[in-house]
Amino acid sequence: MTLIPRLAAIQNLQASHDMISALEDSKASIERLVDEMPHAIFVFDFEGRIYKANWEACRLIAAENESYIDRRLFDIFDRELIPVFQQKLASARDNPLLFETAHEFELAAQTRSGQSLPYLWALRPLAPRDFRRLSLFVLYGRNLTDVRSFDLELSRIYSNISLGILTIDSDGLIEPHYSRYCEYLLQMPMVSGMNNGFARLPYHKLLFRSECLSPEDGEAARLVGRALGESEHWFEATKGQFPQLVQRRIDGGSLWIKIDYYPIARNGVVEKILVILENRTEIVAERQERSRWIRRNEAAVRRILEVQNADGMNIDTVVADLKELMAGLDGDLEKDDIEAFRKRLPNLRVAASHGELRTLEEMVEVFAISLDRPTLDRDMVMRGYASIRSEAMEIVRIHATLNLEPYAPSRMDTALSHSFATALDQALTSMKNGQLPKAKKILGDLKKSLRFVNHANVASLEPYLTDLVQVRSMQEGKTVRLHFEWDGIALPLPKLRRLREILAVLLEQSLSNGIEKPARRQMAGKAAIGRIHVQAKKKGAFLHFHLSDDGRGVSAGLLREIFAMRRLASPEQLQAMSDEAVLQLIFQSDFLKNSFSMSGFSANLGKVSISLKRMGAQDVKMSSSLGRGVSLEFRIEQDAKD
Amino acid sequence: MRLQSGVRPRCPIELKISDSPQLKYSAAAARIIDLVREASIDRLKTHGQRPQVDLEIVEPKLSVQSHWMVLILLAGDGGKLTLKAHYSAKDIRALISRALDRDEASVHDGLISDFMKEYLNLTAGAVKARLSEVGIYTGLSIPIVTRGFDEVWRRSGEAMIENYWRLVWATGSLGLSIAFREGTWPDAVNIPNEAKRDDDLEFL
Repeated sequence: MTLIPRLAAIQNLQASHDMISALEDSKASIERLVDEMPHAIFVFDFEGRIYKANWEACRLIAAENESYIDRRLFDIFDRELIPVFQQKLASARDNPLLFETAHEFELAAQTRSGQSLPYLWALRPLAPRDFRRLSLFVLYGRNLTDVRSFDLELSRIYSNISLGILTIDSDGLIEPHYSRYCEYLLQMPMVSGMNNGFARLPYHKLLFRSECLSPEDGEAARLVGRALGESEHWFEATKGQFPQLVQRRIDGGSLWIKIDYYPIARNGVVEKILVILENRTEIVAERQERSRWIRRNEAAVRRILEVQNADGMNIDTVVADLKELMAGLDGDLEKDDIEAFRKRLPNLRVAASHGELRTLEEMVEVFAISLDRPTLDRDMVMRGYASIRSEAMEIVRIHATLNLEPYAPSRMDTALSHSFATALDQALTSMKNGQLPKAKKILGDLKKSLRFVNHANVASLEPYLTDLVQVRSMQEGKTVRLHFEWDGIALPLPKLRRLREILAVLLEQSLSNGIEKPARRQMAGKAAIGRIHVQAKKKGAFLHFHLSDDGRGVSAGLLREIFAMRRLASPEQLQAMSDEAVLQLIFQSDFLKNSFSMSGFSANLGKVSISLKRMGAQDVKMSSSLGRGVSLEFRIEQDAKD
Repeated sequence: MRLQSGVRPRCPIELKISDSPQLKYSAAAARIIDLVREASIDRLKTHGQRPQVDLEIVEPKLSVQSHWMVLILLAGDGGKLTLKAHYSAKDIRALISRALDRDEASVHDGLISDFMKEYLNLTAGAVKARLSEVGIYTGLSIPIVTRGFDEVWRRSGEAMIENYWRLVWATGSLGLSIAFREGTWPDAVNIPNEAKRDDDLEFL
């Protein structure tokens, strides 16, 4: 070979070498990528002998990198699962063409320490075209531990979070995998409780039931669907019109659900909508209750001002007239005598006008016009009259409450005055007839009767106490039914005022610490409405008072802790005492001295205890059954001097 | 990596295939195998600074012998021969570390590849030189490092002679294999045995 062709051959050889070197580098870099992949890759034969394993695969078989030759793949599976894997291998070997697309399956991998890890595998023959010569398989393995733990965490969040989270897809259908709380908020018969039962339901059917929507809300609900496919800008500009608060009726009650909407957009177009639902029932109920309370208070203030601004003597007369007219109107309706009712009603307007009770006057005027219709429905009359009656009775009650000396008769009762006159006549006649002992007896009785002139019926406390309980129960979100039994008892005014204080504190105490909220009462198997009973009875020379409620009761154990903490008794002493004895400690003198340093429940009872003592109450006895209520008894001597 | 199963007793290099009473190859093929074995062990001793190297004859269980493989092609009139070395980076790293008196940590993967390419180049070069003694002139390809797994893609044709052996030293081993067609270089049978030479040069 001459020099020139030889040089050309050398150059060609050099070019080939360069090309081979480049291919070698390229292959090495690809191999490196495979080695460093986060998922395991095995190549192995039908017997499970490993021919190739990347670094993650080596970790899985607990081998050093590059030291996998002659290791067996089957060792990474639990012995009982190996046949499962082998069966798949046999399928792949016998039907290689069916496995050209990798066959995916989950099978736990066993680490050397015995830990079982969830793995997703993909199996396929290595070279189906020349498979018979050497049956090799490729197995890709993805460790699902992190995915599973994330899924679990997500599932925990989805199960426990008290928010409903769901997504609406581009077709306006609910996507699967919504949060479990949705099932509570959006209860739907047939599908609630089923696995992903809401999936594929149209959003408006699930979120916005037509029976709970006004026409305006219905239009707003349709707007949500229109937002799908629109621009994000359009969504943001419009979402203020979407329904924000919807009401759902469930199990006889209702739920108020706040709805927030978030766009899931791609390239600026809304593809899906993320919806977050929040239970706002309590907040809405509280808001409604508050506005009712405000309206009621405003009405009360208005009535108070009307009563206060009225002329003193005039309002007394008007209130007396109102009572009388109410009784008459009630009677007419009871007798179903609408005509008599219609005739009597204008008198009510006149009385209201006379007392400058403008609201009542207007109400009666409007109602009177409605009565002029040719055909009158009794129910309609009843409904109209109920609000008027309520207004009038409120005025009567407020008048009784505002009256500075409500319990004292402003003038002597006609019957009493007549009986005094008769008694004096009898005494004078007896003296004229020389029947001095008889005259003495008559005068003695008269003296006894005179003592009751400055007495007032305990029943006169009823409006004040009722009002107190109503206002307080409204503030605390509780409902209470109050029962009174007075047995016609009358007390001197100072004593009556003290009794009023005591009863007021006890009722407040019962409402604040005893009676539970309706939901809690129902959970405890009680009626939703609490009950407080106030009873007074004459027994010989004593008046017995008994107050009871059906609230949560007083824990003797808690009292022991309070007393021990306040060092009112040693823990040992308290432990040695019965529950009943612990309850009685509240009313003992030693405890009263220290009760001012207490707070809350014990302090209130301390105040009651002091008032009882001042009033001369005897045999104060408190008893309680935890969860079932409290009762307090005491007695006072009827004729005892203040 | 030391293969435990299928290992035959180690034999001295003096035990030649061509002397074997159960010779299954032609005399020329056996001579070629002997030549390559001799060259492989001689070069490892000098290149790897390992005076004590044993040869193991083993029947490989798998087509893939090790994670790494370096191969070189010796080709000329009358045939061609592929020579491969199968090794683990761990064993060669320890070998280089000792030969160059360096920490193992400083022996990076690139150095291991270069070392093995050079080793195979030297071995094939020695074979080429011996073949030329009987008028067989050949050329060498450049050595290529690749993964041992690539063996699974090799197509073994009929009448191919494939021979495998293993060189073992105190801290490791490497496998070697050759493949060529029966009938390649018949004149190789005339290559005389060579007395041990002292002028082997170290290339690294």
